[in-house]
Amino acid sequence: MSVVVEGIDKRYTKGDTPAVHEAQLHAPSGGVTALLGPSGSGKTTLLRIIAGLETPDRGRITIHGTDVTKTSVRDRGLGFVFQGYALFSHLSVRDNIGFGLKLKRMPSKEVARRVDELLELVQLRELGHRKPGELSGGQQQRVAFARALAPKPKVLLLDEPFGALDAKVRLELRRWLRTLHAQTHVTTLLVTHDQEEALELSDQVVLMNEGRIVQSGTPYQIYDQPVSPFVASFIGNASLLRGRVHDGHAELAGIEVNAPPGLTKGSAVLAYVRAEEVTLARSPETNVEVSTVRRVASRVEVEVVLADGQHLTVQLSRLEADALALQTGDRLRLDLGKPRVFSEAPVSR
Amino acid sequence: MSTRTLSDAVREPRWARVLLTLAALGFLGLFVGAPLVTIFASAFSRGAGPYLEAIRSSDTWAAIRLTVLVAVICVPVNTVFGIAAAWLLARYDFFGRGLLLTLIDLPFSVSPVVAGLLFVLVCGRDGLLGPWLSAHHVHLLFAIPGVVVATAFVTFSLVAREVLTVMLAQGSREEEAAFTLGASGFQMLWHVTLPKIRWALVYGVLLCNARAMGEFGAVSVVSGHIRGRTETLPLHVEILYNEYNFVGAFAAASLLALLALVTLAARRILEGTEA
Repeated sequence: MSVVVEGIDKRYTKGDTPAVHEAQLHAPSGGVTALLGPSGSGKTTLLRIIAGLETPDRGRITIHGTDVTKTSVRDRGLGFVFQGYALFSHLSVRDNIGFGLKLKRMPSKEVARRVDELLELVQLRELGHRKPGELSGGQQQRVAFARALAPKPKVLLLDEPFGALDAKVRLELRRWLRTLHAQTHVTTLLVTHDQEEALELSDQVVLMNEGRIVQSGTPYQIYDQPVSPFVASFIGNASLLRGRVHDGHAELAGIEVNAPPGLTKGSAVLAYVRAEEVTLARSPETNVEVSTVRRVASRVEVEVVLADGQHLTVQLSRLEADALALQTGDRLRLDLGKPRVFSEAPVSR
Repeated sequence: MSTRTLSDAVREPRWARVLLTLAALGFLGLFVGAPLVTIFASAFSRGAGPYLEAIRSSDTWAAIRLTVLVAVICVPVNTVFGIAAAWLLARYDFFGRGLLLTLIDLPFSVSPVVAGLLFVLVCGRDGLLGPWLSAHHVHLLFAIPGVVVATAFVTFSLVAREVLTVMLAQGSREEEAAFTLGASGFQMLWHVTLPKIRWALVYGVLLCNARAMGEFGAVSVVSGHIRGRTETLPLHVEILYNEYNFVGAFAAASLLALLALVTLAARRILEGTEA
């Protein structure tokens, strides 16, 4: 049950910048596709268009080979999980889960059986008679999943499903969703602004910015081969360094790195350096000075200053930091690894 | 700890509290309690017999019947309209929404007498619609239809207002969820929207009913005061009073006061169930 999106445009107000522009994507059957991007990037709008809750100005939505662009929400056969749960507050958990089944005129015995099955699946067997208001946030979100899954949807759409939960419950539910997907194998589209969530849960990440899809690929591709400065800065914890091209390589404060091909000598470059990918070492030949050392639980974030005054964040484990006996003002040797280097001249996003 | 009451640390001194409470209760007793007692005392001043007789007099009985008839027509009409208008205003963004949002309060904010005069000016013999109406033998003014229309106009925003406030506060996510689960527009209305607004709706209907039965100004202008035919209970009270028939006037007034008390009690009970 793949979902194909072709050339979708959506503008809320005439003359305004489009909320979604020329969106193109293919969510493979049985997989998890994450729509990732900062807030206001158009990811939720695109998901709502796929669901049929918004009408696109242009373009086509195909589900499992059928063009559904003109089909109403109720006939698309999708499950939708809303950010704020949107449970029916006047109905019990059981009635919430059975809502879609009763609408389909399923006999009440079968409804009861299916609801039992789903309560089991979302591990809320004991709480069927409660009202949503009597459950914790995490439990409510699991009821929302069960309600969406009950009518056996072709596709499951999740809009920031863990957005309203605290960090620990988020992490638990993320693990839970992985097992749930392994059991159901329903094609899933997940909207999130949390890159860790996207990179952990999905087979495919679609990264959006300002209404456009800027890159899609596997989590590793997105992480390892960002196609633009935006992607490089959005994914991971990267510092930006500026430098220039010299004789086929780029130089950042006296440190040589690979240059993007086709740039003439002297052209300006931007390098995105991930804090977790650089190393610091004691050495007679130093190139940085430590300006601050921040200890955050199990890791240590070190701020260093390069020869030309540019700053860079380095992330070390506590063991690594202790081995180096780091002090403010220490002079050390920095290895930049393989930073992502882009021409500074704006080509495209 | 309750968040409704202030903690001792930030409370006013005891004497200030006692003074404020006494002032509030005194004011309430003087302006609400005393008149209410007077109505019933005057109505029963010559005992239960004359009271019942006054109510059973043919003109009073006709006024009661007309008042009920007006409410029976106006309340359902304004309920359906109110839900529709609130739905439109809460869920859709369209050209002229701001204007409609303002206009919906007009019947409530304009003086009822002015509203009545508007009808006379529009539907009267020399009015905008007057010639057309009389050509089609429609008699609005100084007849029962006029009383109904004027009352409907004055009470028209009561249900809409109550329901709109709740709908705006609740948002449309649950309704969208119903759609994604395969609900039709009607199923969504019946299974999701109405249960969510039910208390606001019942309260709005109660208010609308109380106002429809108690309306004086607008009805007074359009009814023509035809005794036994176009007189509602409030109009009848005035006539009886002007004729120095105090027992009759207060007996009719006691019915309206009773209606108000029942409405308030019902509201109180509803608020209890809601919380």
